[in-house]
Amino acid sequence: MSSAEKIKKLFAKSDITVDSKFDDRIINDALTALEKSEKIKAVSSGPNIWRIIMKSKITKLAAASVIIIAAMVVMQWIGSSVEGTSLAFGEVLENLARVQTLHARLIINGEESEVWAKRPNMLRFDYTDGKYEISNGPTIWIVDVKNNKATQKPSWYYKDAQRRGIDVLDALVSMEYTDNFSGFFSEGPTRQIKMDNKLYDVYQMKLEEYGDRVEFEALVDSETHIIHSMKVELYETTRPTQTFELSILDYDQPIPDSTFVFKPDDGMQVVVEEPDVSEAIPAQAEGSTLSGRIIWASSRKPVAGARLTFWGGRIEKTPEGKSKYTYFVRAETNRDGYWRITGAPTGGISMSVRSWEFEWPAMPTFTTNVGSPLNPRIVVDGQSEYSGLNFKVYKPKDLYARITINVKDEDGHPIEGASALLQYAGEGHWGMHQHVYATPRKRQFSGPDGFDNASIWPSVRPVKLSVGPRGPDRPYPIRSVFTEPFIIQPKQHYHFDIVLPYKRKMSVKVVDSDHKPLEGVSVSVLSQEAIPIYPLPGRSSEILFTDSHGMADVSEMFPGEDIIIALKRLDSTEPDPEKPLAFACVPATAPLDKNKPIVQVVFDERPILIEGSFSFDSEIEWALIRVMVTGEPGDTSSMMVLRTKVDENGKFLLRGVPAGKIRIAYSARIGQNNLRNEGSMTTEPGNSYTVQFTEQGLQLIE
Amino acid sequence: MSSGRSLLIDEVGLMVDRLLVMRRRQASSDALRRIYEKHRDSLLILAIALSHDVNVAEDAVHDVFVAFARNFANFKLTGSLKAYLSTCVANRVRDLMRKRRSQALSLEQTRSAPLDSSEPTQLVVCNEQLQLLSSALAQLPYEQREVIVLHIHGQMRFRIIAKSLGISVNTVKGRYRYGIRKLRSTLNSEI
Repeated sequence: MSSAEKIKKLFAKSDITVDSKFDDRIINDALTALEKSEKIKAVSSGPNIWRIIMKSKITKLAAASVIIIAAMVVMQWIGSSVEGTSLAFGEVLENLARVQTLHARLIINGEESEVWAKRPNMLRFDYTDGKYEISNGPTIWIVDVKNNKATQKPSWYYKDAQRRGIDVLDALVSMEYTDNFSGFFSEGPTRQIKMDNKLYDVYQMKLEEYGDRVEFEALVDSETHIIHSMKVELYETTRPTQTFELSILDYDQPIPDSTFVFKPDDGMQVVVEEPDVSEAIPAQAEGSTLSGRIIWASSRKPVAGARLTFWGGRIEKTPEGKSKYTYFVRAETNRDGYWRITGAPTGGISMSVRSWEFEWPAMPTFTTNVGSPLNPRIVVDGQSEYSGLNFKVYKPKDLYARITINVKDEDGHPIEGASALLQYAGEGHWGMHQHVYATPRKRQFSGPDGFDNASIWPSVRPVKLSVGPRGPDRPYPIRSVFTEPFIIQPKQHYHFDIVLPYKRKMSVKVVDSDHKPLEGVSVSVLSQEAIPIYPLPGRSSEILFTDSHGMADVSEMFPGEDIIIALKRLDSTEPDPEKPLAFACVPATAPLDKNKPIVQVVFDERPILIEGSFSFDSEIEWALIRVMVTGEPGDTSSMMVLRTKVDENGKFLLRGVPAGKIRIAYSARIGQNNLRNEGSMTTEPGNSYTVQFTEQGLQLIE
Repeated sequence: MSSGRSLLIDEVGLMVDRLLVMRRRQASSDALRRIYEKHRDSLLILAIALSHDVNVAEDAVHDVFVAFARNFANFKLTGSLKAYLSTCVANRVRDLMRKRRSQALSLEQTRSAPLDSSEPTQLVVCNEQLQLLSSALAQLPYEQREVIVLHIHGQMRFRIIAKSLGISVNTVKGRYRYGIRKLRSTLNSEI
């Protein structure tokens, strides 16, 4: 016999005698620990009828079921058997969440009440014995007509709804999605029944344990997919059966606000109960819990395995010197498309969604009342639970738009090899533009018959199409043109006939206020969007100066184009365009007539100086100042013209400030915070200004 | 106003809450009791075989069950419950032995309870085979003992042991082989 076999034999024959005290000690201690954990759980989740029935129970039982082994627990989704246009139960609940008013009958263990609910946060229960409750916003009135008594209290319906970030109407009918229970929400109806000549989808769920069971059944209008009734029954071996029934009598019917207003009759005893102070103190502030679901917009099926990123809180520096959010978590949707995160701090929580099947930009649309497709930001209180943060996403093929362009020159000849680029409109600076993803190549080149791209993502912001000749060896002396801004809608076809005009030369004559020519002035030409036209963006290091006649020749011009001529007086010993002595942005129009190519502009080069300082209670670690031109005349919306650093004393000096309306902005680390702020002011040539940034913003001292 | 009839969410919610919490507690405590009863002996034998000390074994099984109960609600099992609990007990025995060894060193005395002790406070009494087995295993380093006990008594595969101990399968197999070889002489003389 081998050693291993001998040991096996010894183990098999090993036995122990255990005193019952030992069992008692372990079981008692274990049950105490279990009870404590239950209490902690109970504190963190407030009472809500459906939640208690649907969430707590099933979560707990499901967790327990893993341990108690399958034989003891039978959790059953009664399989779907109805084909056709039926929805999953989760979608039925979403439908109900869209109604504005609700009128229902509620029966709890045989006791009946009639319920009216209206957004925002209005609820009324009428009981058969003449008592009624009106919850309107944070206040509830409990009225006992027989005894001529009314009690005013803080509304627990409102409190519960607020805690969950939803309306009381939603709180009344909502169910919590949980991973353990989500299977049911993905299920369709089990059968259809006909009642009063109407067809209803029947959704059922059953849960059994130790002979006790919970049964749930909902009848849903097959046509409108709105719930007609819901019933929950708890069959206990040791307690009487509990039943809850909610029958919706009608919805979205007008209910006057007066239904939810209570005025005590004369002689009525009115009791006002103050809010319990202890309740106002948050028990635990460990962050908010956010949960929701992602479905495909087209099929309404869940998106499984989508990767979600959430961030919020403060920005702080890592030991490596990188900035990061104090709250940054990732989540993944489960097979039913549900996601959940915890620990979200107070404030706005931003999110993004990725999947190998879709891209985020523009795609997700929240189906609930938070965030927006442009800025899916959820504001949380760092404590409550926010459920039902659902949104849908689109598959590329459901969305692609199509753009076709015919490109010709001024003589009507088609231009082969032109390029087209989609850019976001209104950013004001070439470098600030973003490409709209069209294809991985981004650029498409026109063939002999023009430009045709079949796969364009829709845009949520206005874009413009830039069409121009291809590459440096462009076949024509022409310059790119932009289309008018437009928003690309899904599945739309956009066609453009583009004429690329020949470029022209233009002479700029710079004179002073007495119309005397100014020599040595730096000249550059910008489009109205503040995109450099000349010198070309790639050659911006070249500086063009006026000659002794005040003239400078620029090329690349379009006839009749609205332009901005930027004039700078540079330090002759150190001609740095970033540090001008005087500066002006002058609006002009490129000449139409090629025989009269001169544009005259007046440059008032009396220098403008701004001295500034910071006045904050906290220490300024660093600060950057930017000056942007804005407003009339001739200034673009947000073109940056100057930039400087703040010195160790919190002071800064800006030379060569342009005349007109300007914005001065700062980004700074002050104390423990990264701050940004800005203010605007109007400047005139030859003047000096003193400004101060305080916690209130920009202040002009003199 | 009769609170039981009118406060829908509050009162009914609380009523159902009470009901469900009680039921859940009932269900959980029943489940815990069943799990304890089913695995108690096996875990105690495992702990005794590992520690050669009844007091340590008692404490280890106690601690594991209390911790298990504390996390019962969130517990998600991915494999065998017996293997899970066996690993927990083995880890706890190791911790307790380490702690007691350091205490013993500092106090310069030992407080272990021999298996054949007939102390009146002894709640767990071992039979002769278990005493023999435990004595034989006590000759081995703890690492080898652990692998042998988990594999033979805990019926855990080497791969599972490796995963739960965070070591490679080959290391587990090596420890097992060396342990068994060392036990040969001891067992030959005693069996």
